[in-house]
Amino acid sequence: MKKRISIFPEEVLEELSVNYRYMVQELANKQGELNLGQRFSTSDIHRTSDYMTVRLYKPISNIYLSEKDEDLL
Amino acid sequence: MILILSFRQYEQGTDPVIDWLYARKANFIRISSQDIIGRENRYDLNVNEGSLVINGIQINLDEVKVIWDRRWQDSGLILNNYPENEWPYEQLIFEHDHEINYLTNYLHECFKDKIWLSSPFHEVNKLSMLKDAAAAGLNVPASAVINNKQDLLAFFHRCHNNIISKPIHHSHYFVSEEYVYSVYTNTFNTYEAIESLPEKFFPTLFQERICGEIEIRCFYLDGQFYPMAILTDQESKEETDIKLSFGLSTTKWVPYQLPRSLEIKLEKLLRTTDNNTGSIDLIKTTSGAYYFIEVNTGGQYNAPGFRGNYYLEEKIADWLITHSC
Repeated sequence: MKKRISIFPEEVLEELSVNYRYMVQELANKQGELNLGQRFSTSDIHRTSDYMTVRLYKPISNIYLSEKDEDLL
Repeated sequence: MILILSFRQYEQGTDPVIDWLYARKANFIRISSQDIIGRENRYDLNVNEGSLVINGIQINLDEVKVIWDRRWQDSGLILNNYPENEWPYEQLIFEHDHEINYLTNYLHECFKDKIWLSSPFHEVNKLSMLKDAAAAGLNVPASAVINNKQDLLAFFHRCHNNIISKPIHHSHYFVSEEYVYSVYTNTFNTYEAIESLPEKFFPTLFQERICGEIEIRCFYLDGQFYPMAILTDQESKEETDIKLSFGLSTTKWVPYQLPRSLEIKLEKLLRTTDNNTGSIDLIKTTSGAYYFIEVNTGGQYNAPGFRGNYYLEEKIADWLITHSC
């Protein structure tokens, strides 16, 4: 379990939802969604100032997990 | 013509679809809020004639048949060099934000009779969606928005002393140099944890904790489901929020086939709420029951697309082309 902390003092936390008492600290460059350290190009035809080439697919097998309706609760 | 509303900056879901639109030689245009707000473009929106000219290129709004509302407005687009909490900039920024929202609403109104993929007119409220999901026959966790310890203790007891808290809508990253601080789903499974809270607090969403065998992320596109099961080891299962286990080598993403009876209920939910696309979160319990957690109609499709080999960007592009003819 990741350790939970807060970045807010108690007098502020009293005004907030309880969620902000249990925040998780992580390295920013490990957060893929922030795209830190990513290298972008530009593309006029895509009308974007930050273009990244789509990664290639790795072919895998077809459906692996399935379940029959009659097995359901 | 296909109209795509999206950021001008990196938007992971938009560009791969545009690649396919070029490959298919589709007639489309991408507009961002920066095109309208920024000073680098010259534009003229003729309200009387219903035409938009950007840098001398005229877009006849009548020619637009289908619109993909991907991501439109980014925060902090304007006046971001001024202190937003100081007079007179606080009011100035508020007024300009309001102007942009008003203009955005007008543009949406111009296109209200068009075919939309992810319509801004049917924005999902996650709380009401839980009620709609139950009405569609889906299992949903017991949920309550509570602002005090006394009622929280009663809810905790009703949920067999195992509940979670999470944002009612959304919480983003708090970035501080090399670290980010984030709100994830949090578990309360002891009285001591509840007792440590103040008597009153800001309204918070609490839910019965659904202990899952697997979690499922499922992209939905107009009647088709593209599900991925996320398999974790026992240690990760103790972590309430599966997002904290995404990067572990023990976490596996596997294409999944939903039972048809579950698909029918999910489709009923999305149809009755006028949504033709969305990213659905589900949990399958150890006893085999499926629980609906939430749907995000503007959600990312890349994870199930790439990990499941679904080529969702191609499917989205083809959907747009089909509906633009």
